[in-house]
Amino acid sequence: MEYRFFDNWSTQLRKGMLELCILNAIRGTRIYGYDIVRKLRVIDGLMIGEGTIYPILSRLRREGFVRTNIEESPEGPARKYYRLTERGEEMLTQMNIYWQAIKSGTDSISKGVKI
Amino acid sequence: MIRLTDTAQQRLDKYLQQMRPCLQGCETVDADEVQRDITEHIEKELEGSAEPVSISQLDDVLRKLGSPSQWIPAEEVPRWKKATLRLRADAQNWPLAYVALGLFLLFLFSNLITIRWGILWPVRFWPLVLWSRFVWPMLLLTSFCLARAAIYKVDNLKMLGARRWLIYPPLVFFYVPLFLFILLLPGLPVFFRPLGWWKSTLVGTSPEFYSGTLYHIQRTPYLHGSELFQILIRLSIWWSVLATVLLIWPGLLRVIFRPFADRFDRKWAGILFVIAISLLIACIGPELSHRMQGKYFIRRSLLR
Repeated sequence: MEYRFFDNWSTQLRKGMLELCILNAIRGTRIYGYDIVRKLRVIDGLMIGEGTIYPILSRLRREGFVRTNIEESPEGPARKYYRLTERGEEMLTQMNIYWQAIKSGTDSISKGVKI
Repeated sequence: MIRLTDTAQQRLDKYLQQMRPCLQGCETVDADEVQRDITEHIEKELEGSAEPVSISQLDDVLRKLGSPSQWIPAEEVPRWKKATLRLRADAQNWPLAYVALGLFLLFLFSNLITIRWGILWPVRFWPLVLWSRFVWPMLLLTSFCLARAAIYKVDNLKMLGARRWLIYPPLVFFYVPLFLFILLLPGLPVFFRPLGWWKSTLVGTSPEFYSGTLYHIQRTPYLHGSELFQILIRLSIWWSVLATVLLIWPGLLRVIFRPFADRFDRKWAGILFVIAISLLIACIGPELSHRMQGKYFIRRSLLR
């Protein structure tokens, strides 16, 4: 019962966090899809499976938050690089502000600060 | 392209095949794009590995990628897709239950079709005869056996959940006639007597009766009452025998009528025994009295 509750809760939390982390990983650079996975892999518990990232990237591209371009690679076949669009930058800024507010709020509650 | 061993290649193909239906139908995701990305990811992960890449190396990569069914959040998957995926997973996990229902439906459907054809086509058409004589019973029997096998495969029927409705139809179709047969066995000859049985019985046993006299006797409550009491007596004796057998081996009924008789125990056999004995006592007295009165009544009728 407790396991199921935690499982549901962490799934819901992870879903939003993963999008935030992907957008942050792309911010300010052009990045290869596989490198996004490598960057995020270090965060424990963020992904159930690394494959989760690719459908999210596809959705973010469809919604116009990221764009892709194929570039030749000296190491092998052409690679698909991701970059944030202007809309994506704006969305990410909003998301980060929101997340910071939530985070500081939860921190203060968990530390027992009186509001 | 990285070279894989045959088994690893087969595993990869299967993984990609499983991935496709999980991604399709989700409007927010481009399935082709994701498939390309995943293939590229696998190649990057295996880069530098000794070729041909073994299945264990590939499995490590696939395990980290996770199951494709988890990649798309549940709320983004359309309802029809969820239902299809659940049905497919169900059919893989519970193939016996699905095949049992499928065969049973085929039996019912073909039954209806054949009956309709039979009406439209009164001439004996040999494929229909073959179908009705051999295929129908086989379909029904196979469906029943598979349903029973599906029950035996699960330790607890609760595990089947709503899927139990897949196996109930063929089971009920078999169990109800069987149950009635076992319960009413001594009374069955009465139910299957042809119309007018009483007339032929009386004429047969009492050839001196004329039709006018017969008419008079048919209308007497004695004959109907006596016949009813005789049936009830036979049934009560039979039920007491059944109850005794079930008191000794209560598991017998549970095995025959699984899962519907799973709660049957000696207590129920005891109740059946009490009912049977009570019925026997209740019927013997009136029957004896009826017999004596009846004999007197018939004699008097004949004298008229």
